[in-house]
Amino acid sequence: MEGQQKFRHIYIEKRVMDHPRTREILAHFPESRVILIDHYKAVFNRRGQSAALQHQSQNLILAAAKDTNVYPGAPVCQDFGNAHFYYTSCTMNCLYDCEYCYLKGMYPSGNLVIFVELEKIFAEVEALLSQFPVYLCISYDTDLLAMEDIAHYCTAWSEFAAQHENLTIEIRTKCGRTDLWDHLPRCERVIFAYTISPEPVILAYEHGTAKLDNRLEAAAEGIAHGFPVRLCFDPMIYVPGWEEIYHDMLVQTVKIVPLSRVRDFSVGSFRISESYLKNLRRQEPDSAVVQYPFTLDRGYYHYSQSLTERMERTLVEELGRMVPEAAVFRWEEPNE
Amino acid sequence: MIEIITALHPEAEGVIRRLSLKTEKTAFPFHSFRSEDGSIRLTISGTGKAVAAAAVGCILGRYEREELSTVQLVNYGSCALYQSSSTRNESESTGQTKNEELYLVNKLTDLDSGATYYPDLLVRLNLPEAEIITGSRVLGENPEKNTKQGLDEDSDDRRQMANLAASDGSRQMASLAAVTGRQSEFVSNREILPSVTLYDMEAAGIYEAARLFLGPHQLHFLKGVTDQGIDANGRIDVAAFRDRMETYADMALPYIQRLADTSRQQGRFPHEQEAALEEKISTALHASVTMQLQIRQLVRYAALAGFDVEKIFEQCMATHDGSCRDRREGKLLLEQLRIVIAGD
Repeated sequence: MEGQQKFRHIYIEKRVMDHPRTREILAHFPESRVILIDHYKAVFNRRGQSAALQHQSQNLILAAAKDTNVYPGAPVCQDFGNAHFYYTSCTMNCLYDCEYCYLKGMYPSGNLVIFVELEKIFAEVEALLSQFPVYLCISYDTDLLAMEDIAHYCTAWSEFAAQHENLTIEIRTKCGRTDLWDHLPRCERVIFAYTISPEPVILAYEHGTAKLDNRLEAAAEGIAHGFPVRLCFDPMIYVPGWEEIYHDMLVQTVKIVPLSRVRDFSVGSFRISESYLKNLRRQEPDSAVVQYPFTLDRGYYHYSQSLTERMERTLVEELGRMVPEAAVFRWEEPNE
Repeated sequence: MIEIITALHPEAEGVIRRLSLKTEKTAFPFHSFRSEDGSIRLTISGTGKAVAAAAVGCILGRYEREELSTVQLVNYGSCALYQSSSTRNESESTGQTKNEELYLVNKLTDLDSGATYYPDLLVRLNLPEAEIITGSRVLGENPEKNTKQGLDEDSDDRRQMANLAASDGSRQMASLAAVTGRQSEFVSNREILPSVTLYDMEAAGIYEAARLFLGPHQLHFLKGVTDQGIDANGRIDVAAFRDRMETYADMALPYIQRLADTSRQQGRFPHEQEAALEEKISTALHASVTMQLQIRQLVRYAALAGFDVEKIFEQCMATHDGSCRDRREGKLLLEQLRIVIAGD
């Protein structure tokens, strides 16, 4: 299991030290040293942390749910046409270590937090569901599927979604496991969304994640097991020779994944808020993908308009040729 | 740069000798020792949080802001063993009893304020870990010793001071118990790793001061148990103390050397070369402040991505007959440079 060699230290908020989920998670890490804390922020929000170093020796923090855990979806994120788009962070940070990840710009720490009081988060979602249908992304600030053995949150959320007809959930992942499909409950409103990147980008920048073939095989296996699967060619990352690299990626995708059975696709190039990029550049001073000279536009950094258009259009057109009937969602800047 | 801070000279002697540190003359009121290559310094702060924090301010205040990222601060010294609750016998694996261990501290609590601090424990060496509580008095010290001299033995003032002293001492113990009590219960009920609680008089003060300058990955606390508070006569056995600290110096050395090795190995990107190139391009393009920032980002990215920026720049300049008359032309050239480097 991917996380087993991690977590030399597990910090636990005293108020959840007797929580059943705390005990379940601890059982996976008998060798970890436990340190009791009053509040997760005492560790997570320390000044001057190096997320890059912490990712090399990541620790786990188990905490109670916050007062508010469900938020409106961010403008830079794809809402797939859903009117009531929300996201939740039942876990903060990721087992993986992608250089360009906005989490390094958003969070002060590279350590991983699991909020064990999932039931409180469910209650918040139910309060929204009493007003309107909700499209909820639960794996933005983390990779829940990669952590399924540790926390079983994909299972818990799938069971919850099955009980609520007006809830649709997206679980975003770069995980390449195929064995989980035998155990996960299936619900047509729980979408497994694979981030698909070219192999050279994965090798250079997406440290610890599954290789392209493994992700594609996992997606194909999910489809074969009857799970709704989305493929996200998002974020597209500029590298010299990107046309050929992304073409090869699509060729490989077609070989492994039955594209006609993919629920939908999303395409988008890299974009990030101004404040996040500033922090991210501090954390990753030697990363080419992060130090790229992006264009600043209304509070967001992205590739230039012309490069963005070329990259995304090229991919959309090639995808359209492969799957003419595909539903392809391209991120568009929100109107002011 | 490794900055070691200890409270007392007998704590420091073993490390000074092993690292061949020599006295360093400074303007500050603390004894300071430095290695021949200058990469390790040891400062003796004196006892107590306030002087330790003052020493930290002197030590770290010397550095320019950008230099601080290269500093690792180690608080090395003695401590008392306040509490140990275990369900696993560590002495079986280490061959030592709990009161002969050098510990790496993973949690610091200031007994007076209740504040807690957590260093990042990123150096992987086989040192046992413990939490530490920092107080303002020697553990178990009879506070009556601090009463004013010259008071009449039978005076109301003397009795009042004695009562206060007794309650202060009880408060110390009660405060310590409150900090550690619940954790012990959790540990013994859950059969997880042993919990050892140490006590000293500097660590939390050092952390509180040092965190203004350094990140939690740059702060290290190595504490060797030398006592369980003072004995019945209110004294610490100095000879035994020195012996223990010699043993701990041997244990601490690999940790300090690992930090020193990591510090030396940390590759620094040749920003000096970048800075020179930025200067050259900025001057040539008559760059405004905004343009300079753009140039800096372009040069940084290009260097990381493996571009020969200087060559590209010269090629761009060649398209303008090798010269740039003013800022307007400079902006055009900058855009040209950006298009080539950014793949636009």
